[in-house]
Amino acid sequence: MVRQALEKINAHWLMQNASDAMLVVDRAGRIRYGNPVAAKIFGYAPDEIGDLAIEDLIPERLRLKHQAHRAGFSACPHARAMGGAEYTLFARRKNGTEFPADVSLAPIETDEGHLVVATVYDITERKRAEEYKTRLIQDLEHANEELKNFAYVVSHDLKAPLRAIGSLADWISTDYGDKFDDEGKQQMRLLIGRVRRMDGLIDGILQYSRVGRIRESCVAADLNALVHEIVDLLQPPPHIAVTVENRLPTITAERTRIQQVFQNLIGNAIKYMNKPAGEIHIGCMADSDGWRFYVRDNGPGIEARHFEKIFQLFQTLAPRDRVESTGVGLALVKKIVEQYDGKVWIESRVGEGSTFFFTLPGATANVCAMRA
Amino acid sequence: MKVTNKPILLVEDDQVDAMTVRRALRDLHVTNPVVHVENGDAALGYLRGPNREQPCITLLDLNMPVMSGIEFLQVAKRDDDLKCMPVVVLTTSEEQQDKVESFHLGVAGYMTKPVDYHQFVEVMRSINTYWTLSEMP
Repeated sequence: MVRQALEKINAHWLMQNASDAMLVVDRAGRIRYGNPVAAKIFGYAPDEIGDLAIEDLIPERLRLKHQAHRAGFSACPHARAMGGAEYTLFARRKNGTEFPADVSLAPIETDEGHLVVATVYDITERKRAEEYKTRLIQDLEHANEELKNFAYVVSHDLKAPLRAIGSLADWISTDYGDKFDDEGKQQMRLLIGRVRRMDGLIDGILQYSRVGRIRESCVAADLNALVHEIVDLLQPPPHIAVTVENRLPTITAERTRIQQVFQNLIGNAIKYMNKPAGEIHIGCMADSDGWRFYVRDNGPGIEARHFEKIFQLFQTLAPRDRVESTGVGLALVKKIVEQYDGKVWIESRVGEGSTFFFTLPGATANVCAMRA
Repeated sequence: MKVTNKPILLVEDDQVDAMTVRRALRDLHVTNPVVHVENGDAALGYLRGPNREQPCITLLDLNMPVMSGIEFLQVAKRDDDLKCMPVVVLTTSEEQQDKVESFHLGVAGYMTKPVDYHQFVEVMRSINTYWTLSEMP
């Protein structure tokens, strides 16, 4: 029914009322009809456009090429888009200015012979938006690259003078130790201690900047073996019992990174343990998107208001003079887990202990595949 | 050092780092004279100069102005007179690329400078022990 009703509407009426610019062109390249929108975007009066050749609407430098394309289309007419994603078409207004255009072509049979309907879209805005987006992405990539290298270069250069300060302080206290009174000796001890702390902080930045900057090959890592190695390495004191609660999976990942995650979480649990009988439990469970791992302790616990802060770089909750800590560990854990599209979070009650959870979604394998 | 009369060539631009090496050698009772130059270019100048005594070992920093340690190795290892001389890299760089390039250019060892002086002495002790036991060309 609708089809019959539509058939009564003639093409001229349709084009006259269309919101896109439409031109009807014959084989010789003469414009036989241009609708009002076409006249408008090309800057002609409505009655002028019908007297032009199609090449009048093309920049001079492209006219010859266009004639060749037009001959090609006549030989094999079928509805298609002109140009393509790989290059931009340009159209010429009456005043000689140009605009980027998308053109779609459709052959039509009429009493006057084979004609072509060309629909022209002014894509200036879209091009401008695309260029803006491309530039933004380039800027962003550049800034990101610079940031990645910045941390590394800066820390590297900070180390040299720090080493000099450390050495000179050491020699002064060795060579002139007998000339210092107790206060002087104490000050030298503090000085050397601060040098070591700064060294630790710089090492932390280096470690942190290395994640993502340096890519290791992904291997199948048996987490059972890995976690046992880490516990052996950390040598928990006799009053702390570390238990792996169930069998851990073998995952494909950068071994060092996964080791850093477990080592920091287990290491923290040991370092901050304040109970005479310390318990640390490690385990995993199947999660909707892969595995969810946990490291649970019965240590001091952390107030909920610090749950976000502890994962930030250089944030520590205890004064550094009491517990020597760089504040890099959990930031590193977060960065690594997030690189594997995972999440890390904490559940804790003050006085009862904390549980750190993290996921390494199935994306683990994909991350590796991408890097291979 | 196996031979005690030949000099140790120290290629190092940082004055305190050079003092650290001298002091560590003194603390370890290593009596070889130390020849100190500030970059690779100066080291080549010394090694190719007239009547210079070939060093028993070269301790090489990597990050130096004028001519870096890697650039020095690229030249020295192509020089028939110099390529057999043992070179131990002594640097702050823990970059994998620096290590790979250094060994690619035939270094005899690669040590990173620790911040702590006593650890530095231990590093120098290891170098000295090794080159006391090892035969030299």
